[in-house]
Amino acid sequence: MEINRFEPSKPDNAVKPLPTHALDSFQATEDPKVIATPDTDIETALGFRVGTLGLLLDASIYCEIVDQAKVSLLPNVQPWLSGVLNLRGNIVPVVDLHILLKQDKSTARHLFAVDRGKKTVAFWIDGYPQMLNTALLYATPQPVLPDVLTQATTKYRIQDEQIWLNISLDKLFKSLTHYTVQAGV
Amino acid sequence: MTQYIDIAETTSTEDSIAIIDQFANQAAEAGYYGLQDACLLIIEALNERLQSESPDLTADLKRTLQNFPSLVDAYLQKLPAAAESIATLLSHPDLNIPLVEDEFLMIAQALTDDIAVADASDNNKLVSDDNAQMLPEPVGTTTEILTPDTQTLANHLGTLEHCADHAAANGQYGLQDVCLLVIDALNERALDTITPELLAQLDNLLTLIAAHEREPQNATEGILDVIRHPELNVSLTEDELTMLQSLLTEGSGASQDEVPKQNENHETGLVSQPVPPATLELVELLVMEAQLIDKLLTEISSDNALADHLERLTDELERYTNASNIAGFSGLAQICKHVQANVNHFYQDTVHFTDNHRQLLHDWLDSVKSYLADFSEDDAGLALIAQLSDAQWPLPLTPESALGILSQIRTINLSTDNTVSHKREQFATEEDVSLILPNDVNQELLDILLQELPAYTQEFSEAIHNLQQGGSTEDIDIAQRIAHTLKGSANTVGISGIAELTHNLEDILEACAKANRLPSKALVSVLIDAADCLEGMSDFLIGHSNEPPAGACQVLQEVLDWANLIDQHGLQDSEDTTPSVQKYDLIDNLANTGSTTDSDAESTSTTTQGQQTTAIRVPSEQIDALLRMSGESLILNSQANERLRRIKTQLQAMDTQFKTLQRLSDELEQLIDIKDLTGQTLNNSAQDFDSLEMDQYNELYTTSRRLIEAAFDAREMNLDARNELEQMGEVLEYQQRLVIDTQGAIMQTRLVPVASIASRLQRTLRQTCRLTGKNSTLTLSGEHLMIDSDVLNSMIDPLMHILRNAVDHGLESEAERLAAGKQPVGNITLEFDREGNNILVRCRDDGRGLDFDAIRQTAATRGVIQADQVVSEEELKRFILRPNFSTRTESTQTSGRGVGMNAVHFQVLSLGGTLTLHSKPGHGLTVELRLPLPISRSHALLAMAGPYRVAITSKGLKQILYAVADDFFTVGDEQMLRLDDAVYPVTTLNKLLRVAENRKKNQRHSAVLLVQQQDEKISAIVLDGIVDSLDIVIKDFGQYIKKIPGYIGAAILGDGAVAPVLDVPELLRLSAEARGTYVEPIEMIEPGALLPKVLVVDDSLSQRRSLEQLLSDAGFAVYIARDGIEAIELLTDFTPDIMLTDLEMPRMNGIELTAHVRTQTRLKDLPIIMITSRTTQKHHKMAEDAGVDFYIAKPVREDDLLTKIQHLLENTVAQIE
Repeated sequence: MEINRFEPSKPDNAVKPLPTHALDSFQATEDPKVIATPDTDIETALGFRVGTLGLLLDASIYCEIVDQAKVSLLPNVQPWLSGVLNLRGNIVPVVDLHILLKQDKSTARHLFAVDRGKKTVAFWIDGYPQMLNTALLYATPQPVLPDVLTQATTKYRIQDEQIWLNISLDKLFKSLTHYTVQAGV
Repeated sequence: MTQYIDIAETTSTEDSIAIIDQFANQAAEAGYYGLQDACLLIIEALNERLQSESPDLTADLKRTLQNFPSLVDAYLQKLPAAAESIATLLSHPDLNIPLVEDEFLMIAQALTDDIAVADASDNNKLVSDDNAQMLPEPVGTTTEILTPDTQTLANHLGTLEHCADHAAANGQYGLQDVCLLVIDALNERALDTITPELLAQLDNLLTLIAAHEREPQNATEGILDVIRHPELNVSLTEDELTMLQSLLTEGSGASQDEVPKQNENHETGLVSQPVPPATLELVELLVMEAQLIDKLLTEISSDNALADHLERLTDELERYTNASNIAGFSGLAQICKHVQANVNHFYQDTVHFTDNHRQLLHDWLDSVKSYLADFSEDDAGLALIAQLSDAQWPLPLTPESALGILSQIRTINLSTDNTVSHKREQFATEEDVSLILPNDVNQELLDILLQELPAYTQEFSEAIHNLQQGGSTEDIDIAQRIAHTLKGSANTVGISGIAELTHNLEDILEACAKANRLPSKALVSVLIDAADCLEGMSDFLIGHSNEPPAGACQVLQEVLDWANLIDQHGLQDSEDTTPSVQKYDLIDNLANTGSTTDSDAESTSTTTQGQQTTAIRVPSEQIDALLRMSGESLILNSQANERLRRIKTQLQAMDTQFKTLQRLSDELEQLIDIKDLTGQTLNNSAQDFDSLEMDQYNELYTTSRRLIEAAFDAREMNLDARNELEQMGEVLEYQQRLVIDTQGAIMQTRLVPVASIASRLQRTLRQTCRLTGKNSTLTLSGEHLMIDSDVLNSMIDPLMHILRNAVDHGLESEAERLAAGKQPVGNITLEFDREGNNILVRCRDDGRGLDFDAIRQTAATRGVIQADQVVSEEELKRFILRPNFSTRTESTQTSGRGVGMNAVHFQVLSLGGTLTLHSKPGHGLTVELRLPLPISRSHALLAMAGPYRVAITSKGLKQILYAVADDFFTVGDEQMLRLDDAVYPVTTLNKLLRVAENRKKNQRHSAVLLVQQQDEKISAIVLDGIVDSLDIVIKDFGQYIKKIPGYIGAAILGDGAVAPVLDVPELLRLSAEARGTYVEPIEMIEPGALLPKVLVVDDSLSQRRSLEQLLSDAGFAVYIARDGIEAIELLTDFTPDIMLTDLEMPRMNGIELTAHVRTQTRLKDLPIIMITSRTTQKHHKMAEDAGVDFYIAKPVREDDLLTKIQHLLENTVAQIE
């Protein structure tokens, strides 16, 4: 599908890289070296599990477990949208990644809210989230992923034989919003 | 002459390549591009040969290559034959250069042209110079250590070359000639023949040249003596020497005599008025061309093919006429035309062409040259006209035409071409420092300017103050860059005061930067004044001060004086050469007109004060936060009201209880009284009084009495409490109103008038008209309507598309319109209106309307309908809104970018709006757009749908009623509701929400909503039950889930739970669509995915914004970068279709960026347009060399830019195909 091609993000005003850095990061796509030798980089990240999948978010993201919050259900929406909850005056959508990623639901799931303000979103996750500290692998080919994740995954890493996928919430929801809008009734 | 490397000795092909490569580089440096091309082609061919299977060269080719250096030498001697030989070499079969015939011809032409131009220049600089440089060092001498003498000689040569350049730049052609002659002579000498005597003469010469700067008359003799010196061996005839002498003395003498005040004038004999460097460049070119024609004339005498020569002469004159026109010498162009007519006459009648005539032409050319040397003098050109009026010409100039030419020849239109910078003013006027905004100011751009202005002016001041403290050239660069940026921004917005000041400041700073010299103290103090003035202007514009800076005019005057001074004399070395005399004169002048100036300034300030109210800029998040908080207050308030209501009910109940209590106690009292009278049972004490004689109270009686009083008091207290609550209710009511007002006020800050986008709409229409060659007017109504800025902004994109569609697809061509009996000029109206909580926009055109047949046909071809299926026009209209449905086969620039009605429809839907089409064939199309305004507060019904609690707002709601079972009846499968005389189709909310039905069968009463859909149809919706009716604050679902179909948002209820807020009309529409007979679209086109992508790289925010607006309005997806580095980062992620870049930017400039892009395999064919305020040929050339496709000078003409973009995009497509 052509629609969900990655769009370059708008430049961040605060961060200007050094010219040399910028030039170094610029590679012709035809350059075979890029594919042959993946870059590695040690980085801390926030990991959580959905079924057998391990997902990663930026370590600096604000998050909390909100098991006590009451989820209000919405009729007539995509099954992966469990409902909404009221988190200190903000309406937070609750996304059931198990349905979205076709994973089996466990009995002990936690409600995990990430980010703040309007960007807050809650997921059902298995177990508690954890901090991970291993090398990131930028390279392709990626492991075979559910459709929704192929668009949203930026990097991946392997720790204890578990593949952890770095996901971008923006990209994830970009494809999801598309589903909600077009699905209709 | 110099020795060359013999290619024969260097047997390998690689060596040949190396040598030719060297030639190529040197040729490029010297400007022999034809030669460079030839060399590069040969290198390429040889390289290819090296990599091929048979790398050995044929003997013939080897021989040819051996001859190549001597060929180049001959070429540099300006032998046309050599040019031809080089061209022939290129087509050598063994080289196998893959060029077509035309390309060979082009190179051959370039080769010939190059030497023709070089030849035409009045010196031998290029030739001699290049000859020396170009030829490889003799093999033997490369390892030789330079002797002290040769070292000194080399130094002298360098100094002389520098002098020559300097002299040429100042128009001192005599001096330049001297330098070049000497350089030439030295180069021709063998190294071992340099004597100390010669070196002494050279020393002497350099001193004399320096002296010539101050006293040309005295120094000239000395210079000529050196030239005549036998050691130098400059072979000049006596005549030539005399000419040189006159050249050396004449120029400076003239300016000294005529303009005694400007005795520091260095530009000998050229101008008395400051002439911008760009004009000088053009004049130089014209002089060179004149020499070319002169040479042509000389050849006439020695050749018999007279007719051919005269024909060539006519051609040359034609070219000269054009060149003169371009350079702004319209008078000269007319004269050329006249001479051309004369030459034509000779050509017709070659027999009578005499030497006399030839001499006439020669003389005429001399007059032209002298005219060009001092065109700005009052009497310039008189000689030309006099000469042309000579009766010897076959067609002498008539007195009438002479007069006409005379008037033109004196006023040179220097602004006909934008490569000629405009002439600097001498005197500053109040108008020049005016800060009055133009009437049609683009508010958005103004805001941006106001945003960046304070930071820039402050930075500028800092840089200038640094200069005062010593500083460095870096400060000059910073200040210059800021001045440049501000000039551009101010010009874009239209604030002449800032533009004018920064323009002159930039020029001054640029001169300093070029001279690599820090400004003098006097200049710095003027610059500081200017910086302060700029800050004052900035403060005024922002509203920090109520008056524009006083004395701005004087500051500008001082700046102008300096700029003019620098134009005329360059930067002065010494401190005391400030234009003090002029300055004081001017200040005196200013003092005389002081009173008027002051009043002018006052009137300026009063007029502008009205326009500028103090404003602060607040980030929109802040407003959002305020809005959110006021919403929270409203929720709390309604919760408090709810509590109050409950307490009141409780008190009411209590009151009833108290009443009961009171009644009971009354009854009790009566009972006691009766008992007391009849039985006397309560008190049996023997007393002498009858009960009538004395009231005797017993305890029971007293208690009952107290009970009654207590009950009464309790009721009273209850009433008091209710009064208190009543008052509290009022307070809460008041608070609620206040919060609602607060919310309204906050919403108000987000409102902007529709008129703010009017100019953009008009511009889009004009552009589309120009691109499609149609004529149309755009009428707006309701532009005073205030709309939430987010809604208005989200509306712009669809509106632009609708407008472009209306012009491109809707309006007919002028001929068609006339044939249909319509006005030739089309008319498009845009009506803005408010309809409930929606904004309604109607776009009406009077074009051909929808072509239903074409739609039907396309639908049939696409397999959406059967060919013979009966489809109503309503349904056909809906087809247009389907993805990828276009009746046009070819795409056009204006609306055929894949963004059809369907994409507009999708955009509108995702904004929660609706789009409908009304059309009568032949009478145009009306597109109706309804967009909801953001509702944050609404009254709502809380209803149950199965287990879900949902809120229903008043959107589309016509009536709420309770219907009895008898009102319902069924027609077929459809349930209907009869109400009064109307019949409505019935559905249930549960059905719409796909929730299991929950209602009991045969329920007596049902709550029914009558809801109107966008197509005026009213449906009845049966609810399970209404729980409550309350005020709610509607919130969205956060940033990620922007829109869920059928929902407006969600509301937090008093108990903290969340209830979704339904959009019932949309639910009805969605349900109807799901039932439709046509296949649902599987994919939606994301608007923008198919648009061509353009990357704009510019460091000025306002430039970026204006380009962004222009291009996105023209239908491009625009990406933005602030400098080359940022652009490169962006380019790693995506490939734009075209890139627009500024020239000067921090960190990485446009040239570097272009050069970089050209090295990338993926991007090397990316079309690049450079947009800059630099207009000189030099910049242009540099950009072209880097690989820029088009070079556009600011200010950008929008159509021009769009046409160029279109042209480049078409080319790219053609290449791909």
